[in-house]
Order: sequence, then C-alpha cells, then structure tokens
Amino acid sequence: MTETPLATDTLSVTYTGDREIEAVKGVSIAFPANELTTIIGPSGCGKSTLLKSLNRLHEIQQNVEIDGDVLLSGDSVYNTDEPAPEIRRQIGYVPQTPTALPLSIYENVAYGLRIHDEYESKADLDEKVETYLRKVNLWDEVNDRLDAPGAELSTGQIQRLCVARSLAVEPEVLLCDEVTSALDPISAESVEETLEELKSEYTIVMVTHAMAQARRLADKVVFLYLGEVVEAGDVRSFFENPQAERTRQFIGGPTPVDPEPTEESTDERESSTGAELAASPPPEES
Amino acid sequence: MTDATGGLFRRARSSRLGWRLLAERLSGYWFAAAGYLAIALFAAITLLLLHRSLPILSEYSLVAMLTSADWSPTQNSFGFLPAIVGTVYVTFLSMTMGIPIAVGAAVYIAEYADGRRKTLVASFIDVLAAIPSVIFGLVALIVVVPFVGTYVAPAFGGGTAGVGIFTVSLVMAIVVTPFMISLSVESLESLPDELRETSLGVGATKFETIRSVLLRAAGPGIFSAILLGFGRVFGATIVPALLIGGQTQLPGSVFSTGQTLPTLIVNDFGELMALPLTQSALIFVGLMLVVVVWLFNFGAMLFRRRLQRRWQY
Repeated sequence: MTETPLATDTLSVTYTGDREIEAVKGVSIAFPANELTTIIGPSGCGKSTLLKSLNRLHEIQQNVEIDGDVLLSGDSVYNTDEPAPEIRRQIGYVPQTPTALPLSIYENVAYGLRIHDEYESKADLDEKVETYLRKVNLWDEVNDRLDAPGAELSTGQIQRLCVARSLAVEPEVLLCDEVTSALDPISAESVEETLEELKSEYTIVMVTHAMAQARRLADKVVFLYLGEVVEAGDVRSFFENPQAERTRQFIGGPTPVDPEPTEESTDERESSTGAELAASPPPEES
Repeated sequence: MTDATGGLFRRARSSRLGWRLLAERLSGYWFAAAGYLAIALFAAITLLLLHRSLPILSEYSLVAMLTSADWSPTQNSFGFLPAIVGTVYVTFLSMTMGIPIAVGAAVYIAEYADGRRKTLVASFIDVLAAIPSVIFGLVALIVVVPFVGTYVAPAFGGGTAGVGIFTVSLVMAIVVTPFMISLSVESLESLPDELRETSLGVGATKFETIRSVLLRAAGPGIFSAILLGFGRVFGATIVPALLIGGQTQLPGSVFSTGQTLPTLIVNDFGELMALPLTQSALIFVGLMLVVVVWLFNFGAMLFRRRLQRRWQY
C-alpha cells in the first residue's frame, strides 16, 4: 500500500451566514494514490464544498468555518504556516464551468509556471507548455494557433486546457468539480478520455452527479449524503454490492427525498437536473 | 376579416386578435420612434451648431483660430488655443489623479471588502456620485483653494492665489471618481467566480489573480468607466467656471489660472452674444465639444468591442 497523498480527518465545513449550515459533517476519507476517486451524491449534499475545502479554495467565500483537517502527504493543510497559494499549487483544481483565462492558449498553460517561476528559459517554457498540452490531447488541435485567445476554443477544448493549466504546476492531487456537466456529450467524452489516461499518473478526486460516469472512470466511490459519508469503497463493490440502504436507493431506486436546502443548492442549479437524471435507474450493463 | 357565415366565437376571437395585432404594430412604431429620436436629436444639434458656426468659419481660417493664443472678441481676435490647452491640462490631470484611485477603490469593494463594510463603502460612493458638482465647487472654494494656494503650489514653486488649472483638476478628479468606481465595481463583480478559482487553484495569490486575470477580464468595462469619466471632465462646466480663474492668456504652468472650452462659453455668454461673430465663435466652441466627445465615444466603442471579442467577458 502506497502512502496516502490526500486524506481528510473529521473535516467539517460550516457556513456561518444568516443561517448556520453544516455542509460537511466530520468526514474522514483517504484518497488513494494514482487512482480516481469520485464523490457522488444528490445536489446540495456538500460535494462541491468538500472538494473546495480540500485545497482551501472555499476561502474566497466569506462566512465559512472549518473544523478538523485535511492531510496532504501527511502534512496538515489547515494547521500550518504554509501559505494557501503554496498549498493550492500542490492540489490543482478544475472548475465545473470551462474557464479560459483572458490570455492566449499558450499563456493559459504557462500561467502557473510564470507565477511560480518554474522554467529556465523561453525554450524550456515552450517545451513545458507543449508537454502539458500533449498530456490532455490538445496539442494537435491547437499547436498552429497558440497565440489565439483561449476563449476561442470549444468548451470541451477549454476544459482540457484547464486540466493542462492545472497539471503544468505539477500538483500532487487534481480536484475536478463536475468537469463534464457543462459539456456536450462529445466534448465530455474527450475530457473523460483525458482523465482516464491521467489517472495512472495522478491522484484525482472528481465530483460528479452522473452515475454512469462514476462507473466508467472511478477506481473508488464516495457517496455523500447531507454532508456525511454514507458509503465509500471500490467502484465494483460499491455499485454491485452496496452495503447501505441509502446507497441502494440512490444508485438504483427512486429519487431520495431532497435534503433540506443548503446555501450550496443555489450554486448548483446546473447539477440539480443532473442529480435527477443520475437518481433514475442506470441502464443495465453487462 | 370575418364574414356573415363566421360563428360568434370566431368573430369574437378575431376582433380581439385584431386589437392585439394593432397594439403590436403601434407599439413597435412607438419604440422605434423613441429610439430614432436620439439619433435625430444628435443630428439636429450638430447641424444647428455647424450652421451657426459658419459665419466665423468663413471669416477666419480654422487653423489660425485653433493655433492663436489671443482671445479678445471685442477686437475681433478669436484664438481658441488657451481654452484648448486649459481643457487638455484639466482632462489629463484629473484623469491621472482619478484613474488609480478609481481602480483601487473598485478592486477593494469588489474583491476585498466583505459584508457590512462593502455595503457601507459602496453606498457612500453612490451618495458621492449623486451630489451635484456645484456643491463640490463650493466646498472646494472654501477648502481646496486655500490649501492649493498655501501649500501645494508653493511646494512646486508656483505662485498662485489657489484658483487655477490644478485646483480644477483636483476637484474634477473627486467629482468623476465615484462614477468610475461604481461602473468598475459592476464589471468586476460580473466576472464568474470560476476565474478566481482557476487562478487561485494553480497557486496564484489574490493580488496576482487581480492583476493578471480579473483586471484584464474586466478591462472593457473598466475602460468604459474611464471614458465616461473622461467625457464628464472634458465637458465639465460649473467646477471650472468657479475655480479656474478665467484668464485668457496661455497658462504658464498647471498652477496658473486659465480657461477651458466650456468656461469660455459660460464666461462670454452674456453681452458678447450680441456681437454676431462672437456668438458664432462660441457656438463653434460648442461644436468642437460635441465632435470631440462623439469621436471619443465612437473610438471607445470600437476598442471595447475588439477587447470583448478577444477575451469574451
């Protein structure tokens, strides 16, 4: 068993706005190295909150309180003197909406490298940009127009560009927040293929509402409901032999009763339809 | 139209439908007319100004008037250069002072301030924007004029009683900054959070995110805000009229008194309007103001579109 690159230790996230809401409740999970772990659950269950708290990205919002800790290769993420940007460099993040920075395709990938001064020369930077664009299967599509604005690409290409940008700063872990939910099926497939290839090299944590996607891509599945882990396990046993009644209902049965609305549910308009879809019985496979 | 064989129901429906379609058509005309009125007004004003400027333009050469420094209408000398120089000074100085403050305050409100503090600062900036500029002019007469006269001008080696180009620029910067802040805040706040998350997610600091990503993405909006400020300073009338001192020579330094194109009109408007040539000269000044502002807005629109097409925010 290899060292666990990322784990949470009774991690709780509480929104302390007008109404106090505990979105994540004492979650302890380990994300194994070089595997893809998906976090699934109905919308508003705290998936995105959990994901963003893994690299302190939720800190851009106000009124969030954290209890417990996240461990990156055994080191604390919260009780540490290490500045947040340095932690985020080690834990990459790809948002749900494909987002090109207002820069050229080349500079989108070079962005993090320039910030951290992680290149020796222009030639070195060129080489690194090419390497990571190849890694996400984008090089052949864009190598003749690297100076074009990133926003000119299709959404699927932009999403792969986002992955390339995140990987360029060589993080140990990659967080993906429903990275295919805003894409058309063909673009989604291209992103999935990329993730499939990457998961042998990186530790990937992916939030998804698409049950079928979890089955296709995941090595490990974590089922989150009302901020608590209901069940976690290997993808095979999770889908073929779920232990908890709640899991059985969610992956196969009728739509579970919607949890009480949280602050997050307004942020997840996109995913609510997805969760309904996901909650309907998956097509029989095998 | 229904004929005699049409049923009652059918007739009722079609007469109701007829009214609805009539309202549809009339409202379309009305909206279009309201829209075209703007174009018609602009054209009418420009043409009127142009027509009334013809006497002075046929009497004196345009180049001579624009480059002559002698403005004494009673002796039939119409040199616009002092007013043009004064306007350029005031516009340039107040934008130089106003833009850094406006962008800084906008970034603070949009990216740093939270909750109650944000509401407080933002609402006071809106209040400032709503204060009539004559109030700023009055307060400046009491506070800024002595301050500039006693401290600022001597520090830069300029002797002045306190009124003059620098004072006007300072006050106009204060007048237009709240407008520029409000608009810049709007364009920063309309950016998707994903931009922030994306940049922070690769380990950028907040400042790096603002500098390299957010200000760039909000660029077109901030640029519009600055242009709006520019237009207001360029056409400002009451503050310069109160504070510029109104001398007709070329200004020797930024601390000397002077005039701007709008104050030229305001100061000489009264009895001098009775002289036909002077009247025409002042109207020509108005034409210059309209044309310059229009050119700037048009150029700004083209530039903004280019930016938007390039970055798509």
